[in-house]
Amino acid sequence: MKNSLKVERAKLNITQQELADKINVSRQTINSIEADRYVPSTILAIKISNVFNTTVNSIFYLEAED
Amino acid sequence: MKNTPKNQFWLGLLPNYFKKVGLVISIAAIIAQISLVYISQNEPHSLKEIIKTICSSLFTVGLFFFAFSKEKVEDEMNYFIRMRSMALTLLFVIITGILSPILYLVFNEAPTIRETQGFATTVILQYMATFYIQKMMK
Repeated sequence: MKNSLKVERAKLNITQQELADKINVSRQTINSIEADRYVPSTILAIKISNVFNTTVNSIFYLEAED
Repeated sequence: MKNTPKNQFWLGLLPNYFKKVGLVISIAAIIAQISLVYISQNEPHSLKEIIKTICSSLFTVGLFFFAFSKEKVEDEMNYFIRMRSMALTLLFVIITGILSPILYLVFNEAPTIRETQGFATTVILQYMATFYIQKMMK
């Protein structure tokens, strides 16, 4: 699974720490999601999409091998 | 989230301040054990053994508090890493459980109290190492 979290974050001009604070997770978790080292739960994915006022599908998308 | 069980990520961990409590207990136990060598040279052997056993137990308790208390921000990724660490530690315990009777059979010795204590400490240390290494790698 890939994501465009870094791009979305850049659009809103917020840091990893600011995003982490908004959704009550650690900055390390945001960093791991952005680097595709961790796939968030549905709840966290929805929380993230809510911050960017968009849908989960527009941030997280499947790859051919998924 | 009405349908989300509130205890979905419940692991029964201690509050974060137990990290400090655990660290203090462990360090105090180490200092007590080291100072025991220098202070109590005139004390009877049995008393020394009792204090030594209490100190090692306290060290293990301190480690346990440290390992099983929440991080400052305890989120789902931590939960995920914890679960994996617990699984790996369980594997370690099972392998040790299978191998140790064979080793005892070979060396013809039953485990002593200190060895059992040492095993508990090793299990906690194994869990801590797995958890923090995985956390660093994430």
